[in-house]
Amino acid sequence: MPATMITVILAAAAALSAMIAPAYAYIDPGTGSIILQGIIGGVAGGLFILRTYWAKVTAFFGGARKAEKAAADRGADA
Amino acid sequence: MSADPASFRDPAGRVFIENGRVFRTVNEAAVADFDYARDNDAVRKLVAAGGVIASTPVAANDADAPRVRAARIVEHPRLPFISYPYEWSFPLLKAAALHHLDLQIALLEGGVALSDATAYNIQFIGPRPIFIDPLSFIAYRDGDYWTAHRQFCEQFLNPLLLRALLGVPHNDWFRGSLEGVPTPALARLIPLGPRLSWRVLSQVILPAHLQSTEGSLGKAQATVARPLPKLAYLGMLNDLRAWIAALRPKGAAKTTWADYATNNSYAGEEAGTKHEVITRFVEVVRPKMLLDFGCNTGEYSECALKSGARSVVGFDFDQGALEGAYARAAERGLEFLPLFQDASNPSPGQGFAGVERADLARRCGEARALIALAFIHHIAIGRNAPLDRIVDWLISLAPTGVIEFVPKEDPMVQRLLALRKDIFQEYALETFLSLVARRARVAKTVQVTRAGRVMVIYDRGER
Repeated sequence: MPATMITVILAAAAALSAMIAPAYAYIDPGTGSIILQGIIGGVAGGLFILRTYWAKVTAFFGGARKAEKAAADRGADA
Repeated sequence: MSADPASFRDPAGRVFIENGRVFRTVNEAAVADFDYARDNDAVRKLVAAGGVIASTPVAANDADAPRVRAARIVEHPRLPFISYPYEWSFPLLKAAALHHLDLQIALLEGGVALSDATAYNIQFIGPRPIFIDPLSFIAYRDGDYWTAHRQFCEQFLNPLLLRALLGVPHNDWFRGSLEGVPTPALARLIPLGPRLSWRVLSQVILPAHLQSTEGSLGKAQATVARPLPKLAYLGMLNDLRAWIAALRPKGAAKTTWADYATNNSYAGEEAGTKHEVITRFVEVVRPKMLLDFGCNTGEYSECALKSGARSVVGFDFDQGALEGAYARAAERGLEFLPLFQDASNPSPGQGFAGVERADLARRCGEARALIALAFIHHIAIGRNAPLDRIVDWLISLAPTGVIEFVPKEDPMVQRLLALRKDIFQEYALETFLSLVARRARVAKTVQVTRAGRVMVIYDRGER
């Protein structure tokens, strides 16, 4: 039983490591191109995080304003 | 049976040509990606729309199919003409670049990536680009890098920038360097102004710099270990697309022939006679493919197509004329492909083993007719080529054709002779006619101008 367990774990580990191994192609990508993509990826990732936070911030204020407006509308209706 | 001489780089499979049919084998190691792409909806849509070449499974008993070990064998429809990026004008290369990016953008959403970005995987049917290598399609895994980014830059972006930023056509450089324009070389040439633009900086200057810095290999290995967000990949593709779509040739209006069609020495009547001769000639021959040497902006190519030629491949050495010809073909939906070619130095066989990229004559095998109007004096007088060898060369390229002879008295020839000694004693209509008659039947001669321009129809009698 333990032997099978070990096999399963090893297989899973092998599968996992295969999944995160870089996908090399039959042509040489060139170091400049890859480092550049790393930088672009970093910038895009940063922008994405910023955008997510910004969306949260605007949602917070926008949401507050919407709630105020809704309250005002209700007041007008009454 | 051996593989096509250009089919050796990608180990995924090989192309074989037998009895005029095009086969592609898929190796065991590539079969998973091949089947994945074949069954992918995004790929299927692109094939149906004509942007990617169709692949039909080959029957086991097909006598023409290559007898080699392969996991799959498919057949592709044969294209009318194979052309190379060093024969494309600026708008053709741009159309090819945009086609490649559009494919990638559409496919990435569908979970497919491209393993390469070679310009030779794009061909043209008329002015429309088509992607011809389904073995470039591989499964995309979230986080993958665009491994062919550098190849895309060298074969598409850099040659386009050469013309857009510096006003230098890419053709000569690309023909000498079959993998395109290297980024470090272009980086050295770009002047200060464009150097400061974010796009030039990020796509040319920075990669060239990063590539040459010490320890770049280690940095690149560390980079690929981190995933590239799909958002960043798509962002890069979309930004390149927007940039390339807006590129224009620098100083486009200044080439010799750009407005030739409206600014030449013909009177309207002469043009009328020429149209008439071409129309009658094409109506009789009805060629599947016609070659137009000195096609200019494609006026007579269009005339030939309207008279029954199924497709026309035109050649000219003037970038302005070729750009006009592309616009004509694209705007009017003509089966007309205008290509860059210097008749005194046509595309040679070259590349690996000297045969990877075929010479021009080898690719003209499907041509059934040719026209060469106001053409031969440019190489006979302009480039000192012997008249008998010009006639040899032209007549060898198609079984029948129309060649216009422009005599020395013509103002266009006089212009070529204005600043030089007339060393062309053999250049006369009688000599020309006797040279043609030695190689083919002179089916008809029609005088076009009073000054002595004559259209000569030859026929090798092989139809």
